[in-house]
Amino acid sequence: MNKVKKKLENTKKKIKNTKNKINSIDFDAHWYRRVFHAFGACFLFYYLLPDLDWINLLKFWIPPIIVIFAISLEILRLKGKISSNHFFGLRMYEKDRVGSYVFFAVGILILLMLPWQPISIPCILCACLGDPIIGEIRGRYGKKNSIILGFLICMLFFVVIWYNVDIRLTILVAIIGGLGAIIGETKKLWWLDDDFMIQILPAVLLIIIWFIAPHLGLNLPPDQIINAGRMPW
Amino acid sequence: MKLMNKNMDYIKKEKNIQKVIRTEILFAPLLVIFPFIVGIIFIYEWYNRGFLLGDPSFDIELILGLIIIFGNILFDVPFIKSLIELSRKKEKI
Repeated sequence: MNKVKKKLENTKKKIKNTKNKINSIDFDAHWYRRVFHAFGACFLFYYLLPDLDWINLLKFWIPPIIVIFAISLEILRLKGKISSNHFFGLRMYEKDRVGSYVFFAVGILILLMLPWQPISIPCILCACLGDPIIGEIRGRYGKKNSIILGFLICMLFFVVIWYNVDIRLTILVAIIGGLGAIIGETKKLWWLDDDFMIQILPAVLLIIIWFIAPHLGLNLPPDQIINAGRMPW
Repeated sequence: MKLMNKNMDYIKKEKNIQKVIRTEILFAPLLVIFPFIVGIIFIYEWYNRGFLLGDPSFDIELILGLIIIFGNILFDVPFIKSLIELSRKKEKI
């Protein structure tokens, strides 16, 4: 009888140890999410595509189709027709809410459709690289430091894109854009994800500046700053 | 505070650790290699049409190429390390 009890206890211990090991996957999902974010910067390739009729047609239709596909997947997941287990790296708060990746995709889609590249490029960089860097700083050095450093990093993205305009405009855009990004990132709303806000809030603020700046005598950069690529043939 | 931390936890897949690793390994090459390719294309555009022809309007391509490559390296290294670590854990289990 004692032998059976001991065996049962040993088995329970083994199950507990195995569960603990499996729970340590958290850290891995964490880096997976970070890499997925950084990967988003590849969408800037969109601007390098050659300016040809058939490519422009694809450029117009393919991004919305991808986003509609992602939204459809989310609807099926939320209705329970697809298990959340198939979506690797989802957080608990996303279980009964639209996943962050959909907000991320919708934000990028809106920015890609904007006619002003100097506004959309730094905002996309804030979402793709700024957001995971801020998250890492927050985890290691606390919220205050993440806000200060995150603000500086997002500012840097605006400075490097707006470097060849009037210095006053560069500074204004960097401060407003950086503030917009950091407010979008830190203000957490259950129904509106920070992955959306970090890119759309600075974009809205910069659109306002875009229309005001000429009245203040400040020259704007051209609408398109990336030169469309050429066909290799 | 505790509630918030719980919300930030990832949805667990207690029985299928192998499935998790498979998902990661499947996407890892795309997530790691594609940004490099895009970054290199940006730099190539700058070199070919900007640097060689002395056109400074292509400088933005160089900046973006470098941001994409280094921004991704920043997260690729810990990601690959964690993937290797996870494979070891799986072997132990």
